[in-house]
Amino acid sequence: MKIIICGAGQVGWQIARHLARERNDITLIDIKPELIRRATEMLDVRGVTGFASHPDVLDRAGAQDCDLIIAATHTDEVNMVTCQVAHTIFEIPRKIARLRSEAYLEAIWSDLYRTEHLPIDVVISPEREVAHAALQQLHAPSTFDAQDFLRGQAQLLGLRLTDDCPCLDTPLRQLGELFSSLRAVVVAVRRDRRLFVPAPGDQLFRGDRIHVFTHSDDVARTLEVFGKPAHQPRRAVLIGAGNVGVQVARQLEAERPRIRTIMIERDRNHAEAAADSLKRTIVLNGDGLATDLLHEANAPSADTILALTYDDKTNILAALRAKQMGAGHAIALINDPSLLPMTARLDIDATISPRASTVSTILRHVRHGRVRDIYSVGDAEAEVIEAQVLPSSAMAGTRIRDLDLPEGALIGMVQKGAKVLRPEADMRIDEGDIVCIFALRQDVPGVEALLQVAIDFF
Amino acid sequence: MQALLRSLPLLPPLVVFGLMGAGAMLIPAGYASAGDMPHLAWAFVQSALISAVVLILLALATARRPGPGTSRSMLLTMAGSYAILPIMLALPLAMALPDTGLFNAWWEMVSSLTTTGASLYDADRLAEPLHLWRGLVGWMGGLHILVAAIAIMAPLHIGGFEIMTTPYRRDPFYRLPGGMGQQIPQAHIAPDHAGRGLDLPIRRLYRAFLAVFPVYAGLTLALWLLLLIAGDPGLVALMRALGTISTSGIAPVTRPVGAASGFWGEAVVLIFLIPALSRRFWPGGGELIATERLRDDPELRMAAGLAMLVALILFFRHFIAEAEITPDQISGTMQGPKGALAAAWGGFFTALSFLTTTGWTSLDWTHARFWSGLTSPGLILAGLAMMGGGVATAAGGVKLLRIHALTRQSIRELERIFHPSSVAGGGREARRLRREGAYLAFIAFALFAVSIAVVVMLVSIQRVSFDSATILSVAALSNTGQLTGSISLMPVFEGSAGFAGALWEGWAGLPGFTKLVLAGAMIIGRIETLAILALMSPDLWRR
Repeated sequence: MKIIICGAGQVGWQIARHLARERNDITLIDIKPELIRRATEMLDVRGVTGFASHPDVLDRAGAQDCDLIIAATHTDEVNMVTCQVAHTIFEIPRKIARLRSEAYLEAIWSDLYRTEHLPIDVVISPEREVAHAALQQLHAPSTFDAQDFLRGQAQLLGLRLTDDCPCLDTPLRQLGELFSSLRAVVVAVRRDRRLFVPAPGDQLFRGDRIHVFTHSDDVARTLEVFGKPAHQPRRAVLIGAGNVGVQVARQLEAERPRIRTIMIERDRNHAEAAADSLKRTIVLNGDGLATDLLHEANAPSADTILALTYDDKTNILAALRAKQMGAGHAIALINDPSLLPMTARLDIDATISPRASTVSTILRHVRHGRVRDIYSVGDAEAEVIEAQVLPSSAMAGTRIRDLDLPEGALIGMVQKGAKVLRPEADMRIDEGDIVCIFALRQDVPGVEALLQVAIDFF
Repeated sequence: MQALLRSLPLLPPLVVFGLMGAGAMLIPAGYASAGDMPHLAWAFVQSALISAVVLILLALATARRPGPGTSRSMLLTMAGSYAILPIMLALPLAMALPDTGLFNAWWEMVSSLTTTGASLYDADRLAEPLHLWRGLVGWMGGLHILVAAIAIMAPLHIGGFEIMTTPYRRDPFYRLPGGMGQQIPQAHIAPDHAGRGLDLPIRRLYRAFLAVFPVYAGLTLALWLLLLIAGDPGLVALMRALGTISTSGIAPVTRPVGAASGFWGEAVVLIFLIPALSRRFWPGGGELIATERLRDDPELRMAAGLAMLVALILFFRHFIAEAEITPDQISGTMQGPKGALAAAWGGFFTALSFLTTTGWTSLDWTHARFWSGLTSPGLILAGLAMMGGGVATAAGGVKLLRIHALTRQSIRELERIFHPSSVAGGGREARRLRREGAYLAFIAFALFAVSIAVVVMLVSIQRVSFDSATILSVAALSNTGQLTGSISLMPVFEGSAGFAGALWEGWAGLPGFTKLVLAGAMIIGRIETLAILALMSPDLWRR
């Protein structure tokens, strides 16, 4: 697929890196020559230096025969104009724009992004998605990863197993027999940095980081089974009142009136703006790394601490410091994926990576078949694909035990009609079912092939 | 509007005010002649003629002389108009009551014009046209302060405007370092008919007058009509209307508001007291509107809260405390739920009326006192009168917006005890109100307190008991002369106001020096100590 990505910033870079790995033909446009030079050296992409919305620049980037354009520069307006130019002059079929301003994202204006108005097919907002991810982490506090699937009916939870887990050293097969009514499937285990899909005979050990697919109604039970009592936080401390922080605080105020939120922001003007837009949240002005300020924010008795500044190092250090002071649960926002393996070794309970969620959104539009949702796990080591089974695909009409799934792939949940079921060996996948498949990176093409329709369908 | 403004004469404001006052004398003159009191009518006409002649001579001498240039000298005019104008206004009173003397008549007029409404005279012994004259003067005083607030006080940032004006010269943007330098305003080079001179202080006064007068007169007329419908006799209804809108509280009778018109009369008066709680009901003074929505208005919320609080205290005190006088000892008082409701209503109405420094009492106020069992609930009223009504309205006192700023600031300080580095929200306005606003409000409050102390000291030099001196001072400074009626005072018999004087009411028997001090206190209370200090600033007298 031929893809143009405008803007080689944080978001654009990560998308390019991810898509380039999948052997797409990527062209990166940025106004800074050094960024383009670095990108062409480090990634398998073509680079064009120039202003993204200028037609001649797009033309040089090969917009004439391009399939998808992703406008991810820092300026909303440039992104919008780029999509308009791409639509009007080059007739690029699919256009994705990154918009960060709240005003453009408001639901009232969603009518704006129609083909006849402003031709943007998909709006991505890393800030909003990060805020959403942070809230999900808060909802399932003892997990290091949490993601909704099947329109919120199923969840993928990441759990780190400790001695409290009652089912250590037990083969997974037995687990299914012990808790037969529990709709939960262990889809992946990370042991000593290696991520693998467990076989039924595998056991779980202390220190494993597992990914579990579970029905939304069974989340509390699942957490209990793996030794993670589900308790709701009462006091949360947010560090950083940027776009993300304010959005998280605002949603907490709206959805969780029982949580007392305290926010720390270093910049006085940002702090004042945050205080103006929030009602119950207490905003403190100062350095989130300072001990006295964390004490003032009551971090030692806080249930959850969320470090959401723009700076990864600040987030890591602030989370660690708060944790050291006695905070219950520390969540850090980490932009740089290369830092992720490092945080696994630190005393940080969960990380949020804007890339994962943004990339997932974009992947959904790159993939073939009826892919409804894609979630990228870890440092793009695996993917969870939510897809509808098409009539002529290889899956339709086959029993799960007969399915020719690659070794590194596992079905997590199946939705038949309105019901969400745990996959059983003799369950038959019918057309129209929605399946959630966990697949390691090298096996994603295999899964895609399964989901794709046969040629005779056309 | 512009043409009308330009056609008005450029006279010194004091002369203009005087001419208006002289014209107003014809109203009681007409009333007196219609009521078959020719000697009173003659007194008014005579005073009107004398004043008019003197004023027209003055006008001829000063016409086309551009009025005082600065707003600050307008402030001096304003102070002067409260002290000097009453001499002229007192002429008919002094003529009608020959034994009272010009000094007492002047005092009475100062009290009326500052909307204090304290009276030296017994209501029953004063002829109706004289009552009407007192009411009219009080009404003009209310109009005067409403106009002066936006024409004189707003440009000087005093009288409550200082709280809402930013020290950053209303600049919503921070000036960039190295950006455009100080802009030099261009001098006017246009001819006069192109609008030059429209910003002269006297023109500003005219403009404010033309904006405020229709609303002021309209509200008064509406209230008069409603009170007539509710059942008040003609003169009482008119004077209640005059006294309510101007918050002077001058009435021809000492009875409560609802004595003739019942509950509905009181309810109507209560509604018309509300404009004295916030400037947003009057034209001009837009910078004082703290919130967009009416129901968020800090002054209105504050007033409602305070009045409710008083009503609730009076209501619940009944159940908590052992009353010294139980209601059943007083014959004719209500019992049970009806009595409880009446007590709450009496408390609410009276509280709001004293908060606006009007000083009417409700028909149920006596009942509320007995119901609550409090011996001296009048002290609560004194506290309310000190808080005062809305900024830049006809009400006196410290003003609700200042109290609000101080409250916000103290709540904020409490928060800061727990979270020293916390940042509070509410937006730019609220932040300014909490910081600079509260600071300036504190200054105004402190000055008010100092004024009370000084006046109490000066009053109690004479043979006036300390309690009485305190209440008299608070009444004078907060422009709520009726306070002496609701708190029992030790009367003094050092002076006299003649045959019609009301010696037992507290004011008439005061010695001359004390009266002078209290009249000064009324003027200071009216234009606020802060403004007096602004008058004393060297720029004014150093040319």
